[in-house]
Amino acid sequence: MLAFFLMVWDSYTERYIAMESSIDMETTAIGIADLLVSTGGSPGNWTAEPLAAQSIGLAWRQNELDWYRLSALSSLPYASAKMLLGADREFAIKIETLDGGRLATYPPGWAGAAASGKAVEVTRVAMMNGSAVNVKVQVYEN
Amino acid sequence: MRTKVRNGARGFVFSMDAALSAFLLVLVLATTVLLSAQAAGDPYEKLQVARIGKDAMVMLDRQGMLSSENATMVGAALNATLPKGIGAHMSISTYAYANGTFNLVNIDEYGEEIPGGKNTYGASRNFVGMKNGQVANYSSARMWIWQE
Repeated sequence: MLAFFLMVWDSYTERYIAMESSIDMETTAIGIADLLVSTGGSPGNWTAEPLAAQSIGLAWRQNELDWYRLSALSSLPYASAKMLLGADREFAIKIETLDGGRLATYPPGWAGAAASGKAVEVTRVAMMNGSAVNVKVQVYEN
Repeated sequence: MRTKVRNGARGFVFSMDAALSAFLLVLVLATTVLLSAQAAGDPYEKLQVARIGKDAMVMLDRQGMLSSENATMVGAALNATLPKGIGAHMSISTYAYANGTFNLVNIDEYGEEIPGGKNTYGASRNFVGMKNGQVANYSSARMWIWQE
């Protein structure tokens, strides 16, 4: 009985540890997606000098994305973007049309996380150039 | 001094002891399984679904759909905006303002029927309808959203 109980306990502990990691990744993805879709970044003209930005956002107003901000983000080194977005894990951003057509990725040309690692994806909807787009933030483990 | 216990009474004590132990064991196991099952759900599901609803509301408003009163267009825009696996029902109440009071003029319903037995989350947005540069009416849109 004791052995059975210990086995059950051990299995639940393992499950909790895995779940905690997923929750942590999800929190990061939700935070990044919210920053991108709801804020314009700081200072307001951070696109002029992306390396001097204090935070990054892609929206010129709530849920409306701006190409200039997106291209400024693309010009940032991955490590800087990671720090400015407050990501403590690897991340990638995809901007797609509602039917799945790829408009942009960050890091530029990003093809996808390794299939073996764990990944969490959060999707937000926003407007860009008058059309609805999906902003997908993926946080993953290598 | 040794207490004499009858065989029947001793058997009864052993049975009681075993029954209590089994009961406690089952209780501990059941509690562990129940708490684990409760904790297994995604704690951010509510937050994410509510945000999807809020995003959809903003999008529909920006696209001018909320004030269009066109059920086909609103339904199509809702389907296009919401991710797969998300269901939604929307109700728009329109009020006219006259003599210091808001009077309910119309209630329009869009989207799917709200399912029973599922967690639904909400989002709302208030907006005004304009005609010839003047406020024509006041509306309140409410959305119920759920994971299918």
